[in-house]
Amino acid sequence: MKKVLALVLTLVLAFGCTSAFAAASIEVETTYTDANLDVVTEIAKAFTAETGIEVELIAPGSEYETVMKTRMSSGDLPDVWETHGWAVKRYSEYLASLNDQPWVSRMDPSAASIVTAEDGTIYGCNLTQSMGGCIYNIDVLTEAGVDPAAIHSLQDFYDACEKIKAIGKVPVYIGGKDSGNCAGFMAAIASAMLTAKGNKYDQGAALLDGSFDWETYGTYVMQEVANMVNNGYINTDFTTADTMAQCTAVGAGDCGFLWRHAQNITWARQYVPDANLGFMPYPSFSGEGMAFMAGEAYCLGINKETEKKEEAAKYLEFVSRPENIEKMCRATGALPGFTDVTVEGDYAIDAFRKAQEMYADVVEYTNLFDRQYFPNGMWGVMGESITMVVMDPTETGIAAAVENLKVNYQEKKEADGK
Amino acid sequence: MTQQVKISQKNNTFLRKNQWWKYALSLLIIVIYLLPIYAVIMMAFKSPQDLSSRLSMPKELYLGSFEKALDSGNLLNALKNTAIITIGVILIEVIAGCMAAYPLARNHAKFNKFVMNVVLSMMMVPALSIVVGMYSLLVSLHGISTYWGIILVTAAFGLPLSIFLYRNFITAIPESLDEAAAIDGASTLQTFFHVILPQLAPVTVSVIIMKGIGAWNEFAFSLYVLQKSKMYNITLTIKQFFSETSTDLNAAAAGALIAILPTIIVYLVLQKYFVQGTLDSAVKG
Amino acid sequence: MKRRYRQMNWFYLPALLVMLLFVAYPFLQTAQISLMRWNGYGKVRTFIGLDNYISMFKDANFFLSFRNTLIYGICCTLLQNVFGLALALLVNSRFKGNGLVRTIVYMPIMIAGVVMGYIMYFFLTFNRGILNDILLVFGVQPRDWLSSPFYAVLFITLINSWQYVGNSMVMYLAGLQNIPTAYYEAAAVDGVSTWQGFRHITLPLLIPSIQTCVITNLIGSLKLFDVIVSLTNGGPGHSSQSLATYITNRYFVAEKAGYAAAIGVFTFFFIMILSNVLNRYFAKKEVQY
Repeated sequence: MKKVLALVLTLVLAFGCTSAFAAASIEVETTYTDANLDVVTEIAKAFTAETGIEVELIAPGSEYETVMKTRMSSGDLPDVWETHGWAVKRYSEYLASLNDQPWVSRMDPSAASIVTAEDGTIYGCNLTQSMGGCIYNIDVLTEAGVDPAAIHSLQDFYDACEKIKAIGKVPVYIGGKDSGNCAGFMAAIASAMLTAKGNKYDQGAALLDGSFDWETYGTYVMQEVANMVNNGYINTDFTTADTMAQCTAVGAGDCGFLWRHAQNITWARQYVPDANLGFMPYPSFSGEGMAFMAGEAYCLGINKETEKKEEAAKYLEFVSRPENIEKMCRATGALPGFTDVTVEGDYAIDAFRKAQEMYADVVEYTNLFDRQYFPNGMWGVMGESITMVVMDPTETGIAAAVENLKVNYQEKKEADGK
Repeated sequence: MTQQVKISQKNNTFLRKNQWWKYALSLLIIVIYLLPIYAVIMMAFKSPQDLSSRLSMPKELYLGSFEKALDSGNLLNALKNTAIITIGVILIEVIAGCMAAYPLARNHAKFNKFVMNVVLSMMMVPALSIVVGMYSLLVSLHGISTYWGIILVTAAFGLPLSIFLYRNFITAIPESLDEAAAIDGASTLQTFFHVILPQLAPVTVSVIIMKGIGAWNEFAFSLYVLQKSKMYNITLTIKQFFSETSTDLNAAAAGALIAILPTIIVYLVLQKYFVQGTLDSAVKG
Repeated sequence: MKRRYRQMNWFYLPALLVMLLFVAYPFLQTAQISLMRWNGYGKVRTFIGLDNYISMFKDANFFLSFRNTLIYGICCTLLQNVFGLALALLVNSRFKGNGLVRTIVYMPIMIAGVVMGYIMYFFLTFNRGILNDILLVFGVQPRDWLSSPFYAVLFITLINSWQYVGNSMVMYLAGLQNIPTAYYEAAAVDGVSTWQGFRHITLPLLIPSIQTCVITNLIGSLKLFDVIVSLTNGGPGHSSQSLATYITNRYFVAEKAGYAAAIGVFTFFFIMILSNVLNRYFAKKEVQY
C-alpha cells in the first residue's frame, strides 16, 4: 500500500512540475470551441512551424468572460486574448497599444474604428467583424407573402410580423436564456428609436453626456419592446430558449426573423444544412435609414505587461495574413475586418453582400449601441431589462426595467468617469 | 460485517406476503431512472443534423460523436488528468480527514465543539462566493493549471464532509480501546495509528466513493484553476462542447457516456463495501 | 487523559492548514471586497462602507433568491429523506432485482451536475422537449415548462432530489440493516401490524441515519448551483436563482463584485447560524439515543 502511495505522489509531483517548463511559448485565450477551435488550432500550428514559438491555446467556451474577468482581477492575464467586442471598453486598461504594428494600415476603416479609443490608441487587431442585422428564413417570408426588400421602417417590419403570424409561425425568435441575445435585441431597438439614421427621438448626445431622460425616452424604447410582445411577435419560450434553439428555429423555418449578427446564419446551417436564409439591416423608426451594427468577432489584443510582446506581435502578424483571416471567416461566418481579404462562396458572407446591395441606398454602419452610448458594464443589464419587459409587458414591468437601466447607467457612468 | 448483511436479508417478514407490487414499483423506478440515460445514449449515436424526436432511435448508427469527443476533445488526456486529481483529492481528504476527526470524536472541550461548528459551517459555504480570493491566492502561489492547485482547493472544500463522516465513525469506536493502549504506554500518535486507523477501512470506502465521485465531476473550481487545455478534467472537456458559437450536444453526450464509465466500474466493484461503510460512518452516530 | 486530549489537537493541523489557506483566507478577502464598489476586474475600487449591505436589503431579487435557497434546501431535504427511506425499505426487502434497483438509483449521482442540468434541459424545452413529446402521446398540449417561475423552481427541486436521492437511500439502507431482526420477531409474536412496526421500531432506530441524511442533504441543496446554471440559468428573469447563482450573476453578469461579495458574506453567516442550530438540536437527540 505504501509503495502505491509513494508512486502516486511522485506521479502527481512529476506532472505538476513538468507543466511549468516550456520553450518560447505564448498563452492565447480564445472564445472559440469545437470546429471553429480546430481552425484556430490549425493556424497556431502553422505559426509554430514557421517561427518555432509554441502557442498554448486556452478555450473556456461559454465561460470565457467569467474566466477573463477573474484573470484580470488577479493580474494574471494571458499574452494574447480575444476582446470579443470589448477591446476599448473593458480591456483597454490591460491591453498594449498596437498603433505601430505592420498590419494596422490593412485594417478596414470601420473595423479599425471599433477598436480605437478616443485618444487614437488601437487596442485590438480586428481580424473579423460581426455584423448585426435581421436574419430571415426566405421560405417562411415567401409563404407569408413578405418582401424583405420592402421593409425599411419599424412599421414595415411589424406589418411583416402580422403576415408571418397569420401563417402560424413565430415572427421574431429570441433565445433569451443567453443574455447576449436579449442585449443584442435591445441594442437594435434602442438604436432604431434613439440614435440611428431615421430614429425618432435623437438622444445620442444626451446619452453621452449623461443627461438622458430615462423616464421619458427609456420608457418609449421599452414600450416598443412591450408592444412587440403584446402583439405576439416574440416567441413564447423566450425565457427558456438558448442560442441553439434560436438558430434551429430560424433554420428549420419555425420563425421568420432573428435579430442577431450574421454568424447565426452559419450556426443555423450547422443544425439545418439546407436552411434557406437571408440577411438585412435593422429597420429604423422612420425607415429613412437602416443599420448594420458592426462589432468585433475574432479580435485579438496583446497583454500590456507581457514579457513576450515580440512573440505576441509575431502571432498577430501571422494570424492577420489574408489566407488565415479567410479561413476564420469561412469557419465562423463573420466578415473580414481587413481590406485585402475577400471571401467567395461562403453562405453567410454572401447573404450579407446581397443585403448590402439590396439596401445600398439606405444602409449605414454603426457601432454596437451600448459600446457607443452606454458606460462600461451595461450589456448584462440590458439583457436583464429586456427579460423583465418580456416577462411582464405591462406598465409596471416597463417601469421596473427602465428603473433598472437608469440606476445601473448612472452608477456605471459615475464609475467610468473616474 | 457479513453476518449483519445476512441477518438483514431475513428481517423482512412484514413485507414478504405480496411480491408483485414490488416488481411493478421497481420497474417504474428503473424506467424513471433510465430514461435520461437512454436519451443521452440516443443522442450520442445520432448525427448532429438528425432533428427527430430526442427519444426516437437514430436513423443510422453514427459514431462520429465518439470519434470527435475522443479526438478533438482529447478525452483520454482528460481522463488521465481527472484520475490524478481524484486520487490526490481522495488522499488528502482521507488522511487529513481522519486525523482531524480523531480529536473531534474524543475530546468534547469547548474548543473542539467550536471547531466542529466551523467545520459544519464550512461544509455549506457556496464555494463560488469566494472564487476571486481563491484565484488570486493560487496565482501568487503559482498554482494555476497545476495538479496540486486544483487538488488542494477541491480537498479544502471537501474536507469538512469527510471529517464529519470520520468523526461519526470514530465516535462509535469504544474509547476504552484508547485507554487500554494508553495504559500499555502507547503515545497518542501510536494509539491513533495502531488502534484507530486499522478500523477505518469501511468508512474510508464511503469517503472514497462519495468524495471520489465529487472530485471526478468537479466543475466550479476546475474552470478557474485549470486554465491550460492539456490540464482539463472531464467536465471541462465536455463543457467545451457547449458554447454560444457552436453547441455540439451529440459530442457532449458521447463524452458524458465515456466519462461515467470509469465511475460506474469503480462503484460496482466497491458497492458491497459501500453500504457497510456507510452503515458504520453515517449510522452509528 | 487531559494531556492526551491536548496532544490530540495537533491532529487538526493538516486539515486546518488546508482549510485556513483555501477557505478562510479567500473568505476574508471577500469580506473586504464587500465594502467596496468594484466591477470585478477594473483597477478602480472605491470604498463605500456598508452601502452594499444596505442595497442588499432593498433588492427584491436578493430576497427572491434567498427564498428559493430555502425552498431548495428544505424541499430537497424532505424529498430526499422521504423517498430515500422508501427506496431503502423497498431495496432492503427480499425480492429478485433489488440489487439492480439500488445500483440504478445510485447511477445519476455519477453524472456531473452541469451535465445533468443540460440533459434535463432537453427534457423540458418547448420545442422538441422530451417531456412534451411524452405528454403529447396522452393528448396533453405542449407547454414551455421552464418559463413559469413556479415550474422552474419545482423542476430544479425535483431534478436535484431525483439525482441525489441515492445517497439517502444508501444511508437509510445501512441504517435498516443495522436494526436487529430480533426486534421484528418479537413484534411479530405480539401481532404488531407492519405500519406499527415501522412507526415504533424502525423509525426510532433510524434517528442516527436521519441526522446524517438531513445534514448532508441540506449542505448539498443549500449550495445548489450546477443544475440551476445549466437548466434555467436562474430564469425566467431571476425567479429560480439561488443565493449561490445570484452571487455569480451579480459578480460576473451585472459586474457588481462588491455587492456579490456582500451577499456571499451574508450567506456564510446565515448558514453558520443555521448549522449551529441544527447541530444543537441533533446533539440533544444524540444523548437520548
